[in-house]
Amino acid sequence: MSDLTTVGKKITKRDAPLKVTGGATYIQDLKIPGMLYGGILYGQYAHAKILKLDTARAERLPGVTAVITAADVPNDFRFGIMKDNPPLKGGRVRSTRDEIAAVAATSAEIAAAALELIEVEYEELPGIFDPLEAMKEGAPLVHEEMKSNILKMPWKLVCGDVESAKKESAYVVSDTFRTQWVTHCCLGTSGCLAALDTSNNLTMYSNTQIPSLAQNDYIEALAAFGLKGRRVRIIQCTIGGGFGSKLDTYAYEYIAILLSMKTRKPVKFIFSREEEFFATSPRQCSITKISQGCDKDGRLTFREVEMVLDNGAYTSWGATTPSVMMMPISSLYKVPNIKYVAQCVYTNNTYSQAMRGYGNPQATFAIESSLDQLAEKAGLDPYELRFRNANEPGELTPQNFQVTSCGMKECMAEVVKRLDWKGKKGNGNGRGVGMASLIHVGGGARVYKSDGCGTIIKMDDRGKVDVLTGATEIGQGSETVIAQIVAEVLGVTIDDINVINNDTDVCPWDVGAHASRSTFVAGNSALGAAQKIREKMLAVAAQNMGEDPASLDIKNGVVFSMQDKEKSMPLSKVLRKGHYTPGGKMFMAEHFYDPPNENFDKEFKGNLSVSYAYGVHGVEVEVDRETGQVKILNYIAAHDVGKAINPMLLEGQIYGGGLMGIGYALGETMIYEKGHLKNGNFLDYKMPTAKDVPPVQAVIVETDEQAGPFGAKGIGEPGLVPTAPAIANAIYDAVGVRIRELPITPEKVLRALQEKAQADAGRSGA
Amino acid sequence: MKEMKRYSLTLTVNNETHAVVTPPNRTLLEVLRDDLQLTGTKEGCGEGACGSCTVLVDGQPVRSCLTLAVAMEGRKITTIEGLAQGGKLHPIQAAFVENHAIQCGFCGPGMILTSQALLNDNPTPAEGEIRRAISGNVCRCTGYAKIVKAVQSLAGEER
Amino acid sequence: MKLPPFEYLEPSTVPEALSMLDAYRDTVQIIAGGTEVVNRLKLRLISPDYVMNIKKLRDLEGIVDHEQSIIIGANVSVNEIRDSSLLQHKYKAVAEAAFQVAAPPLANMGTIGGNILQNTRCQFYNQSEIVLKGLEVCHKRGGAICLAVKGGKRCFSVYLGDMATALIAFDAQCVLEKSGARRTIPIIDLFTGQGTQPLSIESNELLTGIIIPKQNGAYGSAYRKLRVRGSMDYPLASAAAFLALSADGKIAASRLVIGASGPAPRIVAGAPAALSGKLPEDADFAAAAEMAYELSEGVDNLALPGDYRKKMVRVFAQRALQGARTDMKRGM
Repeated sequence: MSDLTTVGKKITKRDAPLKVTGGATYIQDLKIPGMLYGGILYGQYAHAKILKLDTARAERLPGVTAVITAADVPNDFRFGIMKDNPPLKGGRVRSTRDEIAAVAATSAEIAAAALELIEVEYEELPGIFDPLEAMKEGAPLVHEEMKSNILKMPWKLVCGDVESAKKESAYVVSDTFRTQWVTHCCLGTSGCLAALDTSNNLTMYSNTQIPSLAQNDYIEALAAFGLKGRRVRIIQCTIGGGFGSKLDTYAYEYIAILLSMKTRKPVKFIFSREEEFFATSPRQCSITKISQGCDKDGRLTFREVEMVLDNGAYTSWGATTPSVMMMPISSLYKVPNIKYVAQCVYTNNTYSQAMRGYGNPQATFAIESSLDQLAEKAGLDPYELRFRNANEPGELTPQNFQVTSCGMKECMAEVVKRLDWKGKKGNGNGRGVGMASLIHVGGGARVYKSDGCGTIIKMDDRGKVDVLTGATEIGQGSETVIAQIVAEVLGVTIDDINVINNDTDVCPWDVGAHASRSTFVAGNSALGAAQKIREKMLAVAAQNMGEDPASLDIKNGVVFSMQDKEKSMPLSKVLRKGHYTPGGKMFMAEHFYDPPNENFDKEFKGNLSVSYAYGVHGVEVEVDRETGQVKILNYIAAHDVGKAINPMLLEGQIYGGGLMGIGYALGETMIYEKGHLKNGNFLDYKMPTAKDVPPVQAVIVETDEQAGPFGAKGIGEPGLVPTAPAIANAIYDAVGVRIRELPITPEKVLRALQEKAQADAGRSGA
Repeated sequence: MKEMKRYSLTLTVNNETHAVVTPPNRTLLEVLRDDLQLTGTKEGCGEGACGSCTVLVDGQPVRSCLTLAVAMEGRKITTIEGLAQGGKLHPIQAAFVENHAIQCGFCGPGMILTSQALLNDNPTPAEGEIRRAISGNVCRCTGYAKIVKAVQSLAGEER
Repeated sequence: MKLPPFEYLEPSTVPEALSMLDAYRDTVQIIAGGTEVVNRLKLRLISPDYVMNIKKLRDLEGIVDHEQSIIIGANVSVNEIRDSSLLQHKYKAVAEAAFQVAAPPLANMGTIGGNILQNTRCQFYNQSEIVLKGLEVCHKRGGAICLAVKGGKRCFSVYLGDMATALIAFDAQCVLEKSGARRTIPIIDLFTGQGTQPLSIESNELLTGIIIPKQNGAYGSAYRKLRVRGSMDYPLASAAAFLALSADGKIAASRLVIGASGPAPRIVAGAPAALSGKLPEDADFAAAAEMAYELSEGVDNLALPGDYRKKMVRVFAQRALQGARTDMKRGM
C-alpha cells in the first residue's frame, strides 16, 4: 500500500477545469434545435375540488403548441413507489404543489403567459396538515378511496425484550423530539428535456442521480402511454447538486414526455427557484418518542422509539426512510434490546423524498439528545456514557449488522482532545460543549434487490483509458475517485483516464448515487474491471518480453520486470502489440460489483451494508442569554472513513455535509401554513452563508476496511448526521436548556431560558 | 403582450464588443446567456439572493439577474468565460481547481468572479475579509472551507 | 423569472429626470441600483409603464464634507458609505448600518437613496405570483384583509431598510426635487407609517441627496441589527442610537430609533426625556429600551415570530445605546 502513486493523494477534481471556465453544460444551458419550453400550472389550494378547468384561451395564444391536463394522461398512469401520484391531477388537488395543467410553447415567456390564460375554478375543501390529527379515526381522508390516512407501510423492528430491560434498568429517560422540513437547495434547479424520435424512442436529458432506475420508470411510463417496448436513453447534463433530490422521478419529467409525444418536438422544463422550493420534495419532518435506559454502570439496556412521519399527499422515498432510521436506532452504540415502530401519514402537505442522510439525521437527533439526558440522570459525563457503549470492530448488532472496521472510539478521542472536553465541560458560563456520534452505511446498502454497479474499461493505442461507469457524478467527486483507482491499478497517470458517466447508451447499469455508495461500490467495480484489463496487458507484455506475467508491474505507463527494472516495455507499445498482431487482442474489460450485503428480512434484520461508517462530532457553543442566539466557537468533525482515497475530496464532503447539518440544526426550515409554503426563496429560507461557518476541523480517522477499494468506506452523507444533536447537547451544557425541536432558532432558546428561569425561581421560592 | 421599443446596444463583454438588439425588460443575465451564448453565467434564484449570476461590471461584482441590459452600454463586463487566456486558466480559476473549491460547480462562476474582484481591490485579504466578500454567494456543496482556502492561496502569494 | 414589459427612460441630467417624472407621474418607477426594484418587477408586485434609470445622473454622486453638514448624493452606493472614513469616524451608526446591508456585491449595486426608499416587506406579500395566487388578496395588494394579523384592519408589512434608521438617529434630512421646486424634509417624514403606501414622496419627486447635520462636542452613535445569518438578511429587529454629552459627562442630547418593527422606522420619543441629564448608564438605557419595546409591532410576518422580534427590539435598542456610549469614548 505504501507505494501507491495515485490512490491516497490529493488529486484535483477531474471536471473542475471545465466548471471553473464556465464550460460545463448544465440542463439550464442545453438547447436543442426545435425545442419547446414547458410550463406547469399548479393548484392554488392544499385541498380542493376542481370545478372547471378551461384551457381554450391558452391553446389559442400564438406560440403555444400544446396544453395538456389530466385528461391527456393515458391509462390513469401514476408514478412513485406506491403508484399514488398522477403526473397531472384531475378532479381534485391534494397539495399546493399539485400539477393540474401544462403547456409547451416556443418560448419560456409564451409558456408563462399561456399558464395565466388557463381558467380554473375550485371548491376549497378542508385540509389536514397535522399528521397526528390525520391519524385519528374520522379524520378527513387525503385519498378518498383509501380507508385511512396511515400508509400501508408498517415499519417495525424488535430485538430482544424491551419491556424486561426497562424494568431492569437503573436509569430510564423518555422524551419527544421533532424535526422540520428542510430542502436540498441545489444551486442548479430541476429540469429535463424530453425528446421522442420518429420511432418513439425517448432521449431524456436529465439531472437524475439514478439513471438506470429512472430509465425503468420512463420505460414503464411509455408503456402506459401506449408506447410499449421503446428504448429510453438518459443523458445526464452536468448536475448542479443532488443531495438525494434526484433519487426519484418527478411529475414534470412525465409531463415533458407527454408534451413531447403530443407536439413531436423536444420539450424542456427548467424550474424557477420558487418552483424548486415548493414543487420538489424535502426531507420529511418527524415526531419521535424515545425512551432509553442503562444499568447502574452506565451500560445501555434498551432503546424504544415510536415515530410519526408526515408523508404529504403522495408517496416517494421519504416514506421509506425508517429503513435507514432503524440503523442508528438499533446499532448506534451497543444496545441489546430495541423496539422501533414508525408510521407514515398522508396529509395535504408537500410530500417528502430522499435527502442526504436519508432519515438518519432525524433519528440521531432524538437518540443523541436523549443519550445526554440519560447521562445526566445516571450522573455520568456524556462522553463517558458514550465511550462505555461505543461500537467496536467485530460486533454483531441487534439488527444483525456485522461491524467490520470501526473507529468510533478513536473519533471520540479526537473530539475530546481537540475540543478540550474535560476543560470546557460543564463550566456553566454561557459556553458549553456537546458531542454526538453517528453510524451510517459505508459499504453500499442493499435497499433494492441489487446493490450493483458496472464498469467497462477500454484502452486506446497510446495508453489512454476510457472508463465507462454506472456511477453518477453529482459534484461529490465519484469520477475522480474512480479515475484514481483505475490509474493506480493500470499503472498510468490520472491524466490518462477519461471517465464517461452520463449516458445510459454507453454506461453500464447501476442503482444510483445514493447511500454513500459510489466510492465503495463503483470503486470496487472499477477496481475489478481494471484488474482484468491489467491481466490482459501483462499477458501480452510477458509474451513480448519473455517474462512471467507475475513478475511484471506497471508504473507511469511502463511495464517492467520487478526483478530487473531495466527490462521494460512502454504500455503504449504493449497495447499496439495487442492490436496489431494478427489474431490480436482488444484491451477492454467489464466488471459488475454487487457487494455481499443483505436485504432486510421480514423482521427488518440483515447486514444492510458490507461496512459501516462511524463518526463523532464535538462542538463548543456560546449562547447569548438575551437573544437566544447560538454561536459555534469550535467544531470538530471526526470521521472513520476506512482509507481515504482522496483526502482533499473527502474533506470537501465533511465540510459540505457539516455546514448542511449546521443549517439543519440552527436555521433552515420550510415554513408551511395550511399547506402553503411561506418562505420558498433564498432570502427567507436561511441557507448558511460563508459568514455562518464556524471554525470547523475535519479529522480523518483511518481504519482499514478490508472489503473496500484500497480500504475505503463511504463518506457522502455522514457529515451532517450528528450535527444537530451535538449542538443541542452543547447548548444544554452551556445554559441548561434542552431544545427538542429543530431548527434551534434563537426564539426557541430564549423561550426555553425564560421557562427555565421561571422554573428555577419557583423551585427556590418553594 | 405589449409591444416594446427595441434598443440597439453595444455591449463590451470580455473585451469584445457585441451588437445586441433587445427590448428594455431584459436582464444582463438573459442577454449574456440567450443572445451572446455565454452560458457560464448561471441563474440560481433570479432575485439576487444567491450570487450565481455574478459578473464583473467595471471590475465590481454585480448581480446580472438584477441588472437591466439596456443600462450596460459603455460598461466593461467580464464573465467567467473572460478569465482564462490562451487556453490557460486564470490564477483564481487554477486556485479553485487546486484547492477543491468546486464540487457541483453551479456557484463557481459567480464565486470565482466575486473572489477575483476582492483580490483586485485587496491583494492580501484576511480570512474574515474573504468570508465577508463571498457572503452574498451561496454554495451548498463545499461548506465554503475550500473556497476560502483557494482565495487565501493567492492572497498568500502577494504577501 | 422574467421582467414585465415596460418602456425605458434614461435621463442624463437632473432637470431631464424631473421633467420625465412630471410627464409620466404615477406610471413611472425609478430605478438606481435595481436590487429591490428589479425583484418587485419580477414578482409583479409593480408593473409600471416606464422604468427610469437614474444611475447616470452624475449630480447624485459623492459624499461632500460641508461646514455645517455632510451631503451624500442619492446615488452613492451603500459600499461607498461603508468605506467612507469620514462616516466611519463621525457617523458610526451610518457606517455600521451600511456594513450590515445585505452582502457586499448587493451593497455595491444598491444606493443610499434606494435603500431609504425601499418598500415594506411581508411574508404574505413578497412572494412569487405562483404563491400569491393561492393566497387571499391582502391590504398591500389592494384587498381588505391582513394575512399576518387575523382581522387586521390595516397592513402590518414591515420597513426593513437599514440606512434610514441610522440616518434618523442623526436627524438627517433629505432633498426632494421636482420640476420647479425643491424641499428638504427630515428623513423620518418620508415615512407615512402606512403599510400599503409606506412612503410620502410624491410621484413626480426625485430624492437627490441626504444631509447629515454636523455634530459638535462629545457624541457617539451605533447601529445594531438582528439577523438570522451573518450576511444577506434584512433586519428582524434593529436600532440606532445617538448620544451627545455635555461637559459634565451627562447626556445632553439623544435619539433612539428602531427599525424592522412596523411599517416605518420610529423615533422612540420618550427616550431623550429618560436619558437627558443622566450619566450614560445601563439602567437608564434599559428604561429607554423598554419604550422601544412598547413602540414596536411584533407581527408574525417575517422569519422569526413577532413576539420574539418585539423583545429583540428592546435588546438591540439597549445594545445600540451601549454601542453609542462606546463610540463616544473612542471619539474622546
